[in-house]
Amino acid sequence: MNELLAIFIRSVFMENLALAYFLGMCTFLAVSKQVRTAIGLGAAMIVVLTITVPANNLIYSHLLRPGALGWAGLGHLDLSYLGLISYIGVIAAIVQILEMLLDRYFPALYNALGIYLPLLTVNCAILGASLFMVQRNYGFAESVTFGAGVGTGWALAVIALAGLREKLRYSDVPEGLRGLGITFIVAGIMSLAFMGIAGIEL
Amino acid sequence: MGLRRLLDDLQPFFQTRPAWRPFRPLFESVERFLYSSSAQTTSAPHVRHHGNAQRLDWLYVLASLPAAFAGLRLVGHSQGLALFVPLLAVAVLTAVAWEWIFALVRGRRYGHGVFLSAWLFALVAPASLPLYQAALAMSFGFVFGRAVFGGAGRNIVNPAVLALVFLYVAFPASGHTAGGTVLEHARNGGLDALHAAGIDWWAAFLTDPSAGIGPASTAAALLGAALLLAARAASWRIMLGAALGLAAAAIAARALAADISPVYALPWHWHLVAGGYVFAVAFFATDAACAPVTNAGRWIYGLLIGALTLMIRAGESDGFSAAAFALLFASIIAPLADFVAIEQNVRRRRKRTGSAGA
Repeated sequence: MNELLAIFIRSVFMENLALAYFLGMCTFLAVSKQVRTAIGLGAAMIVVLTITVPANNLIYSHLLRPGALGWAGLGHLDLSYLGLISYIGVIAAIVQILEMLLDRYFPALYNALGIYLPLLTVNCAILGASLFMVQRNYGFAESVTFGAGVGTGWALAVIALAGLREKLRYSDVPEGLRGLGITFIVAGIMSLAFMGIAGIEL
Repeated sequence: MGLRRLLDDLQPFFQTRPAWRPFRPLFESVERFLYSSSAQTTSAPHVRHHGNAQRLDWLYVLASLPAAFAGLRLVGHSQGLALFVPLLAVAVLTAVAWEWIFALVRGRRYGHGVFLSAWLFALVAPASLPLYQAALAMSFGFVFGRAVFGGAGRNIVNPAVLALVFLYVAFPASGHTAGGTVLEHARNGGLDALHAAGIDWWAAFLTDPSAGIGPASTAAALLGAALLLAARAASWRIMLGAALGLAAAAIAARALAADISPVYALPWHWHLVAGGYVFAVAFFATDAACAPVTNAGRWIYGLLIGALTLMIRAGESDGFSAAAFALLFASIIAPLADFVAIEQNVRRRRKRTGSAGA
């Protein structure tokens, strides 16, 4: 139990996908202009990551891993080279379902997210989380925790960035830095702050 | 007075002559330093109060003087001054130079609070810091923590805190204050180690030797905090929230996580006097530019600083760094604290008026 909590906290802060690995930057920078939209996107990320990482974990450990097909009498096969395409397939399917659900039940959020919702399919943070899961040999429970953790961490980062960008409207930024320039600087400062949390001992 | 007349005589040149005009911010900075600002608001709202932002900054400097004296006394007056004065000079010169450069290039006024940032940075940086590192850190903190956002009051994090965090990350060896701090003893052996070193709570309250010059004495920092509160310059909600946050987190950590790190096993009243926490809360957490503006938001912000400081302390137990990282993180979350407070308020009012308006 304690170990799962450690995985969760580490994946929210120290291994924050947006601010420590700089994954998913495209969406991170594009959909952080308003807190409300960012909250919606963050929630979508949490849902997608909490589902896709364990789903890919099941696929990897029961179908792809060397010897995983032993139950079908094909224990000599190593299908792990199919990993990338399988993970992307799962992610695309989940995002598609999420898109339909949002369109039906939260049309305002659906419109606010626009093109960035289907683009979650190729969001490198989501694929990255699945690849980390494989690389670190996480079990199923660990995958659920890790998926929820990185999702929460990414959501926290994008919502905080949106809050800061709303506040930046009162700033007087040099012409050349307005827009993405200052956003990169803010993201850098946030990254420094998240680095400090790495001092937490678990 | 001769000086005033000289400035008055010179002033038109900076407004009319094209060759002089770029140097107007330079002139204004000197004039403001000597005489404060006489600029008056011409459009509503008019604030009728003797205080202005510049006076507020100097009040912070004034309130931190007891802490500075106590810290210098602790290091030893002559030795302390020999270390502190060059550090302060480098920090001030760096900050002033950047403010001038940005004012000249961008054609803006020379802002207030430049000295305050440099002064606070010099107080919390390790006294034996190499001067080039001080200049680099102050440059980073000042440019990326303030100047690129348009100067005083428009920043999102405190420049001195950002400079300090830069120092911890870029120069870990010389950036951290080291020595027999309360937290370091606690880390090595909990309360027993503190007692073995002959430190009781009152001694720690009066001095925590190596937390840096400014934060060394909790008693002196409290005096400064009291002055800020009496002048109503700082938010008591942030201060109280930060104290409660640290105490509550310490009690929880002692009950639940004492086996993880001996720092977590330290009683809450020790945590309050360790690592320059009171100084951090009084002079950095209450910085109006990066703290929340709603009262509920201020409570959230204070509590967050306290809880985070405690959590980081187990790993980063030397000196001031846990509080510095917690401050930086909290100022990043500050706009969200305001967002939550405002949303709650909207919801409450909507319920009261019964309207479903957007």
